[in-house]
Amino acid sequence: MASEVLSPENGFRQSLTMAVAAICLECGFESTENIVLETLTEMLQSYLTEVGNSTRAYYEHSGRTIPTDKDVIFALSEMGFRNKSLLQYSRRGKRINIGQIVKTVDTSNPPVLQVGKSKGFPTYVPENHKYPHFPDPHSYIRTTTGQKPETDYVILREQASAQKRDVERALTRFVARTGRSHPLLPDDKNAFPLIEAQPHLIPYLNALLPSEHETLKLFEATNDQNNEQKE
Amino acid sequence: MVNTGEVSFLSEFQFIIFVKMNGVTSDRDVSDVNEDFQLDGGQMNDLLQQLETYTPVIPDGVARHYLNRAGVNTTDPAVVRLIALASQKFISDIVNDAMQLNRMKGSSQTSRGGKKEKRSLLTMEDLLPSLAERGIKVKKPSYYP
Repeated sequence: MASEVLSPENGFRQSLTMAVAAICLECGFESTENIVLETLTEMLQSYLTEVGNSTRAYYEHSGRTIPTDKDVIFALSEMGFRNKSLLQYSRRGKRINIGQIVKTVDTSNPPVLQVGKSKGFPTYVPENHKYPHFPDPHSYIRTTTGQKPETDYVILREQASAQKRDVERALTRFVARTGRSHPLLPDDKNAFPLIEAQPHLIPYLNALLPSEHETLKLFEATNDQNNEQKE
Repeated sequence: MVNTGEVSFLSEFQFIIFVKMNGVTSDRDVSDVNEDFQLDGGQMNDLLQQLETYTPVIPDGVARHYLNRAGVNTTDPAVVRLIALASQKFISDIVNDAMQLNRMKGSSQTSRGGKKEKRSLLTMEDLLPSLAERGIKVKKPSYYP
Protein backbone atom coordinates (compact mmCIF):
# COMPACT_ATOMS: atom_id res chain seq x y z
CA MET A 1 0.00 0.00 0.00
CA ALA A 2 2.79 2.39 0.86
CA SER A 3 4.56 1.81 -2.43
CA GLU A 4 1.48 2.90 -4.35
CA VAL A 5 1.63 6.36 -2.82
CA LEU A 6 3.99 8.55 -4.87
CA SER A 7 6.07 10.81 -2.70
CA PRO A 8 5.46 14.11 -4.57
CA GLU A 9 1.75 13.40 -4.53
CA ASN A 10 1.97 12.66 -0.84
CA GLY A 11 3.72 15.98 -0.31
CA PHE A 12 0.91 17.89 -1.94
CA ARG A 13 -1.61 15.97 0.09
CA GLN A 14 0.20 16.80 3.29
CA SER A 15 0.23 20.50 2.48
CA LEU A 16 -3.51 20.29 1.90
CA THR A 17 -3.86 18.71 5.33
CA MET A 18 -1.87 21.56 6.80
CA ALA A 19 -4.17 24.04 5.11
CA VAL A 20 -7.19 22.24 6.59
CA ALA A 21 -5.58 22.36 10.01
CA ALA A 22 -5.01 26.09 9.60
CA ILE A 23 -8.67 26.57 8.68
CA CYS A 24 -9.77 24.63 11.77
CA LEU A 25 -7.47 26.73 13.92
CA GLU A 26 -8.94 29.89 12.46
CA CYS A 27 -12.46 28.72 13.30
CA GLY A 28 -11.47 28.22 16.92
CA PHE A 29 -10.75 24.53 17.24
CA GLU A 30 -7.51 23.70 18.95
CA SER A 31 -7.43 20.06 17.96
CA THR A 32 -9.25 17.60 15.77
CA GLU A 33 -9.56 13.90 15.42
CA ASN A 34 -7.29 12.32 12.85
CA ILE A 35 -10.19 10.98 10.90
CA VAL A 36 -11.71 14.44 10.66
CA LEU A 37 -8.52 15.86 9.16
CA GLU A 38 -8.40 13.12 6.55
CA THR A 39 -12.05 13.60 5.66
CA LEU A 40 -11.68 17.31 5.21
CA THR A 41 -8.47 16.89 3.22
CA GLU A 42 -10.14 14.51 0.85
CA MET A 43 -13.06 16.89 0.48
CA LEU A 44 -10.77 19.81 -0.21
CA GLN A 45 -8.88 17.87 -2.85
CA SER A 46 -12.10 16.75 -4.51
CA TYR A 47 -13.47 20.27 -4.44
CA LEU A 48 -10.35 21.74 -6.02
CA THR A 49 -10.43 19.08 -8.73
CA GLU A 50 -14.11 19.59 -9.38
CA VAL A 51 -13.84 23.36 -9.67
CA GLY A 52 -10.87 22.87 -11.99
CA ASN A 53 -12.83 20.47 -14.18
CA SER A 54 -15.83 22.77 -14.42
CA THR A 55 -13.64 25.77 -15.18
CA ARG A 56 -11.90 23.85 -17.91
CA ALA A 57 -15.25 22.81 -19.38
CA TYR A 58 -16.37 26.44 -19.47
CA TYR A 59 -13.32 27.95 -21.09
CA GLU A 60 -12.97 25.13 -23.59
CA HIS A 61 -16.62 25.56 -24.46
CA SER A 62 -15.90 29.19 -25.36
CA GLY A 63 -13.02 28.11 -27.54
CA ARG A 64 -10.27 29.39 -25.28
CA THR A 65 -7.23 27.60 -23.90
CA ILE A 66 -6.62 29.79 -20.86
CA PRO A 67 -9.13 30.29 -18.04
CA THR A 68 -10.43 33.72 -17.14
CA ASP A 69 -11.96 34.85 -13.89
CA LYS A 70 -15.46 34.65 -15.36
CA ASP A 71 -15.01 30.97 -16.07
CA VAL A 72 -14.17 30.34 -12.44
CA ILE A 73 -17.20 32.33 -11.28
CA PHE A 74 -19.50 30.36 -13.55
CA ALA A 75 -18.03 27.08 -12.37
CA LEU A 76 -18.48 28.05 -8.73
CA SER A 77 -22.07 29.16 -9.33
CA GLU A 78 -22.80 25.85 -10.98
CA MET A 79 -21.60 24.08 -7.87
CA GLY A 80 -23.89 26.07 -5.64
CA PHE A 81 -21.23 28.35 -4.25
CA ARG A 82 -22.35 31.79 -3.10
CA ASN A 83 -19.91 34.05 -4.88
CA LYS A 84 -20.96 37.21 -3.11
CA SER A 85 -19.74 35.91 0.22
CA LEU A 86 -16.24 35.60 -1.22
CA LEU A 87 -15.75 39.36 -1.04
CA GLN A 88 -16.59 39.50 2.63
CA TYR A 89 -14.57 36.41 3.35
CA SER A 90 -11.46 37.84 1.75
CA ARG A 91 -11.70 40.93 3.93
CA ARG A 92 -11.97 39.21 7.28
CA GLY A 93 -9.60 40.12 10.04
CA LYS A 94 -7.82 37.16 11.53
CA ARG A 95 -6.00 35.05 9.02
CA ILE A 96 -3.51 32.28 9.35
CA ASN A 97 -0.80 31.93 6.75
CA ILE A 98 1.15 28.72 6.40
CA GLY A 99 3.61 30.13 3.91
CA GLN A 100 4.30 29.38 0.29
CA ILE A 101 6.16 26.40 -1.08
CA VAL A 102 9.76 27.23 -1.98
CA LYS A 103 10.03 26.54 -5.68
CA THR A 104 13.09 25.31 -7.50
CA VAL A 105 14.16 27.62 -10.28
CA ASP A 106 11.87 27.31 -13.27
CA THR A 107 13.46 26.99 -16.68
CA SER A 108 11.50 29.73 -18.36
CA ASN A 109 10.73 29.45 -22.04
CA PRO A 110 12.64 31.92 -24.20
CA PRO A 111 10.38 34.55 -25.73
CA VAL A 112 9.09 33.68 -29.16
CA LEU A 113 10.25 36.03 -31.91
CA GLN A 114 7.36 38.19 -32.96
CA VAL A 115 7.11 39.28 -36.57
CA GLY A 116 4.79 42.17 -37.24
CA LYS A 117 2.19 43.67 -34.97
CA SER A 118 -0.53 41.35 -33.68
CA LYS A 119 -4.17 42.31 -34.15
CA GLY A 120 -5.96 44.20 -31.38
CA PHE A 121 -9.15 43.10 -29.64
CA PRO A 122 -12.55 44.55 -30.60
CA THR A 123 -13.89 47.42 -28.55
CA TYR A 124 -16.42 45.33 -26.66
CA VAL A 125 -13.67 43.36 -24.90
CA PRO A 126 -12.97 45.10 -21.56
CA GLU A 127 -9.56 46.52 -20.76
CA ASN A 128 -8.70 44.20 -17.89
CA HIS A 129 -9.15 41.05 -19.90
CA LYS A 130 -6.70 38.21 -19.47
CA TYR A 131 -7.15 36.67 -22.90
CA PRO A 132 -4.04 35.56 -24.76
CA HIS A 133 -2.89 37.86 -27.52
CA PHE A 134 -3.54 37.14 -31.17
CA PRO A 135 -0.75 35.27 -32.97
CA ASP A 136 1.45 36.92 -35.57
CA PRO A 137 -0.76 38.17 -38.40
CA HIS A 138 1.15 36.40 -41.14
CA SER A 139 0.26 33.03 -39.66
CA TYR A 140 -3.47 33.32 -40.27
CA ILE A 141 -4.19 36.44 -42.38
CA ARG A 142 -3.60 35.93 -46.08
CA THR A 143 -4.09 38.39 -48.92
CA THR A 144 -4.00 36.96 -52.42
CA THR A 145 -1.48 38.49 -54.80
CA GLY A 146 -1.14 38.57 -58.56
CA GLN A 147 -2.51 40.43 -61.55
CA LYS A 148 -5.45 39.76 -63.76
CA PRO A 149 -4.32 38.47 -67.12
CA GLU A 150 -4.46 40.79 -70.15
CA THR A 151 -7.29 40.21 -72.55
CA ASP A 152 -6.76 43.01 -75.06
CA TYR A 153 -5.78 41.56 -78.46
CA VAL A 154 -3.63 44.48 -79.54
CA ILE A 155 -1.56 44.45 -76.38
CA LEU A 156 -1.22 40.68 -76.43
CA ARG A 157 0.03 40.71 -80.07
CA GLU A 158 2.58 43.33 -79.23
CA GLN A 159 3.74 41.41 -76.18
CA ALA A 160 4.02 38.16 -78.13
CA SER A 161 6.09 39.69 -80.87
CA ALA A 162 8.34 41.53 -78.42
CA GLN A 163 8.90 38.30 -76.50
CA LYS A 164 9.75 36.43 -79.72
CA ARG A 165 12.27 39.05 -80.78
CA ASP A 166 13.86 39.13 -77.34
CA VAL A 167 14.17 35.36 -77.18
CA GLU A 168 15.80 35.14 -80.61
CA ARG A 169 18.25 37.91 -79.81
CA ALA A 170 19.19 36.46 -76.46
CA LEU A 171 19.67 32.97 -77.86
CA THR A 172 21.86 34.09 -80.75
CA ARG A 173 24.01 36.22 -78.50
CA PHE A 174 24.39 33.33 -76.12
CA VAL A 175 25.56 30.94 -78.80
CA ALA A 176 27.84 33.60 -80.26
CA ARG A 177 29.40 34.36 -76.90
CA THR A 178 29.96 30.77 -75.91
CA GLY A 179 31.01 29.44 -79.27
CA ARG A 180 33.05 30.76 -82.14
CA SER A 181 31.87 34.22 -83.10
CA HIS A 182 32.41 36.61 -85.94
CA PRO A 183 32.03 40.32 -85.09
CA LEU A 184 29.87 42.45 -87.33
CA LEU A 185 31.60 45.76 -86.63
CA PRO A 186 35.39 45.72 -86.81
CA ASP A 187 35.75 48.43 -84.10
CA ASP A 188 33.44 47.09 -81.42
CA LYS A 189 33.94 43.37 -81.05
CA ASN A 190 31.20 42.82 -78.45
CA ALA A 191 28.32 44.90 -79.84
CA PHE A 192 26.95 42.58 -82.54
CA PRO A 193 28.54 39.16 -82.30
CA LEU A 194 27.52 36.76 -85.04
CA ILE A 195 27.70 33.01 -84.92
CA GLU A 196 30.61 31.98 -87.11
CA ALA A 197 29.64 29.85 -90.07
CA GLN A 198 31.54 26.59 -90.31
CA PRO A 199 31.49 25.35 -93.90
CA HIS A 200 31.82 21.60 -94.45
CA LEU A 201 34.56 20.19 -96.63
CA ILE A 202 32.01 18.39 -98.80
CA PRO A 203 28.88 20.61 -98.61
CA TYR A 204 26.53 18.30 -100.58
CA LEU A 205 27.31 15.23 -98.42
CA ASN A 206 24.59 16.01 -95.93
CA ALA A 207 21.94 16.03 -98.68
CA LEU A 208 23.02 12.69 -100.07
CA LEU A 209 23.24 10.66 -96.89
CA PRO A 210 19.90 9.36 -95.52
CA SER A 211 18.75 10.66 -92.15
CA GLU A 212 18.63 8.44 -89.14
CA HIS A 213 14.89 8.08 -89.43
CA GLU A 214 15.19 6.78 -92.99
CA THR A 215 18.03 4.46 -91.97
CA LEU A 216 15.87 2.90 -89.31
CA LYS A 217 12.96 2.40 -91.71
CA LEU A 218 15.28 0.75 -94.27
CA PHE A 219 16.67 -1.54 -91.60
CA GLU A 220 13.22 -2.66 -90.52
CA ALA A 221 12.16 -3.25 -94.14
CA THR A 222 15.13 -5.54 -94.88
CA ASN A 223 14.48 -7.45 -91.66
CA ASP A 224 10.89 -8.13 -92.69
CA GLN A 225 12.04 -9.32 -96.09
CA ASN A 226 14.53 -11.73 -94.56
CA ASN A 227 11.87 -13.11 -92.23
CA GLU A 228 9.50 -13.74 -95.12
CA GLN A 229 12.19 -15.52 -97.12
CA LYS A 230 12.99 -17.83 -94.24
CA GLU A 231 9.37 -18.85 -93.88
CA MET B 1 -24.93 20.83 -8.31
CA VAL B 2 -22.15 19.03 -6.56
CA ASN B 3 -23.40 18.74 -3.07
CA THR B 4 -24.22 15.07 -2.81
CA GLY B 5 -21.45 12.68 -1.93
CA GLU B 6 -20.73 9.50 -0.07
CA VAL B 7 -17.71 8.95 2.14
CA SER B 8 -17.07 5.50 3.53
CA PHE B 9 -14.19 4.25 5.68
CA LEU B 10 -12.71 0.81 5.92
CA SER B 11 -10.48 1.55 8.89
CA GLU B 12 -9.50 4.50 10.94
CA PHE B 13 -5.91 4.90 9.78
CA GLN B 14 -5.88 3.22 6.40
CA PHE B 15 -9.04 4.09 4.63
CA ILE B 16 -10.32 4.51 1.16
CA ILE B 17 -12.68 7.38 0.75
CA PHE B 18 -15.04 7.62 -2.15
CA VAL B 19 -16.48 11.06 -2.56
CA LYS B 20 -18.95 11.16 -5.38
CA MET B 21 -19.84 14.61 -6.53
CA ASN B 22 -22.41 13.92 -9.16
CA GLY B 23 -25.07 16.03 -10.75
CA VAL B 24 -27.75 15.47 -8.14
CA THR B 25 -29.29 18.71 -6.90
CA SER B 26 -30.44 19.23 -3.39
CA ASP B 27 -33.15 21.59 -2.23
CA ARG B 28 -30.68 24.32 -1.34
CA ASP B 29 -29.40 24.73 -4.86
CA VAL B 30 -32.55 26.21 -6.31
CA SER B 31 -32.27 29.31 -4.18
CA ASP B 32 -28.55 29.79 -4.84
CA VAL B 33 -29.09 30.94 -8.40
CA ASN B 34 -30.66 34.02 -6.86
CA GLU B 35 -28.90 37.21 -7.90
CA ASP B 36 -28.29 38.27 -4.31
CA PHE B 37 -25.59 35.67 -4.12
CA GLN B 38 -23.75 36.62 -7.29
CA LEU B 39 -21.07 39.21 -7.84
CA ASP B 40 -21.37 42.44 -9.77
CA GLY B 41 -18.66 43.61 -12.11
CA GLY B 42 -17.35 46.21 -9.69
CA GLN B 43 -17.27 43.73 -6.83
CA MET B 44 -15.40 41.38 -9.11
CA ASN B 45 -12.64 43.94 -9.60
CA ASP B 46 -12.48 44.53 -5.86
CA LEU B 47 -12.13 40.83 -5.26
CA LEU B 48 -9.35 40.49 -7.79
CA GLN B 49 -7.48 43.38 -6.22
CA GLN B 50 -7.88 41.82 -2.80
CA LEU B 51 -6.46 38.59 -4.13
CA GLU B 52 -3.27 40.26 -5.20
CA THR B 53 -2.46 41.13 -1.61
CA TYR B 54 -4.12 38.32 0.25
CA THR B 55 -2.72 34.82 -0.10
CA PRO B 56 -5.19 32.04 0.57
CA VAL B 57 -4.26 29.38 3.08
CA ILE B 58 -3.75 26.83 0.31
CA PRO B 59 -0.31 27.56 -1.20
CA ASP B 60 -0.27 28.61 -4.84
CA GLY B 61 1.91 25.70 -5.88
CA VAL B 62 -0.37 23.12 -4.33
CA ALA B 63 -3.49 24.62 -5.86
CA ARG B 64 -1.80 24.86 -9.22
CA HIS B 65 -0.77 21.21 -8.98
CA TYR B 66 -4.32 20.04 -8.38
CA LEU B 67 -5.65 22.28 -11.11
CA ASN B 68 -3.12 20.82 -13.52
CA ARG B 69 -4.38 17.40 -12.54
CA ALA B 70 -7.86 18.54 -13.53
CA GLY B 71 -6.58 19.83 -16.85
CA VAL B 72 -6.54 23.57 -16.23
CA ASN B 73 -3.55 25.23 -17.88
CA THR B 74 -2.92 28.56 -16.26
CA THR B 75 -0.17 31.03 -15.62
CA ASP B 76 -2.49 33.62 -14.13
CA PRO B 77 -2.13 33.71 -10.34
CA ALA B 78 -5.49 35.46 -9.93
CA VAL B 79 -7.41 32.47 -11.22
CA VAL B 80 -5.45 30.06 -9.03
CA ARG B 81 -5.99 32.19 -5.93
CA LEU B 82 -9.66 32.61 -6.68
CA ILE B 83 -10.19 28.87 -6.81
CA ALA B 84 -8.04 28.35 -3.71
CA LEU B 85 -10.02 30.97 -1.83
CA ALA B 86 -13.35 29.44 -2.84
CA SER B 87 -12.22 25.98 -1.73
CA GLN B 88 -10.93 27.41 1.54
CA LYS B 89 -14.25 29.08 2.15
CA PHE B 90 -16.06 25.84 1.40
CA ILE B 91 -14.15 23.99 4.11
CA SER B 92 -14.29 26.98 6.40
CA ASP B 93 -18.09 27.09 6.25
CA ILE B 94 -18.32 23.43 7.19
CA VAL B 95 -15.94 23.82 10.09
CA ASN B 96 -17.76 26.93 11.28
CA ASP B 97 -21.05 25.07 11.38
CA ALA B 98 -19.36 22.30 13.30
CA MET B 99 -18.01 24.89 15.73
CA GLN B 100 -21.46 26.25 16.38
CA LEU B 101 -22.77 22.77 17.02
CA ASN B 102 -19.89 22.20 19.39
CA ARG B 103 -20.64 25.41 21.28
CA MET B 104 -24.31 24.58 21.57
CA LYS B 105 -23.46 21.20 23.04
CA GLY B 106 -20.79 22.74 25.24
CA SER B 107 -23.10 25.47 26.54
CA SER B 108 -25.77 22.97 27.44
CA GLN B 109 -23.19 21.00 29.43
CA THR B 110 -21.38 23.86 31.16
CA SER B 111 -24.66 25.35 32.37
CA ARG B 112 -24.62 22.45 34.81
CA GLY B 113 -20.92 22.40 35.66
CA GLY B 114 -19.94 26.06 35.34
CA LYS B 115 -16.39 25.13 34.35
CA LYS B 116 -15.07 26.61 31.17
CA GLU B 117 -14.02 24.01 28.66
CA LYS B 118 -10.63 25.08 27.44
CA ARG B 119 -9.88 22.42 24.88
CA SER B 120 -12.16 22.48 21.81
CA LEU B 121 -11.87 19.29 19.85
CA LEU B 122 -13.40 18.85 16.44
CA THR B 123 -14.90 15.40 16.36
CA MET B 124 -16.80 13.40 13.79
CA GLU B 125 -19.89 13.86 15.91
CA ASP B 126 -19.90 17.57 15.12
CA LEU B 127 -18.75 17.19 11.57
CA LEU B 128 -21.33 14.65 10.45
CA PRO B 129 -24.42 16.83 10.98
CA SER B 130 -22.64 19.78 9.41
CA LEU B 131 -21.92 17.74 6.30
CA ALA B 132 -25.39 16.22 6.28
CA GLU B 133 -26.87 19.73 6.00
CA ARG B 134 -25.00 20.09 2.74
CA GLY B 135 -26.07 16.71 1.46
CA ILE B 136 -22.76 14.93 1.97
CA LYS B 137 -23.34 11.59 3.59
CA VAL B 138 -20.49 10.16 5.63
CA LYS B 139 -20.47 6.60 6.90
CA LYS B 140 -18.06 5.65 9.61
CA PRO B 141 -17.29 2.06 10.50
CA SER B 142 -18.23 1.27 14.05
CA TYR B 143 -15.17 -0.85 14.71
CA TYR B 144 -11.54 -1.11 13.63
CA PRO B 145 -11.01 -4.48 11.88
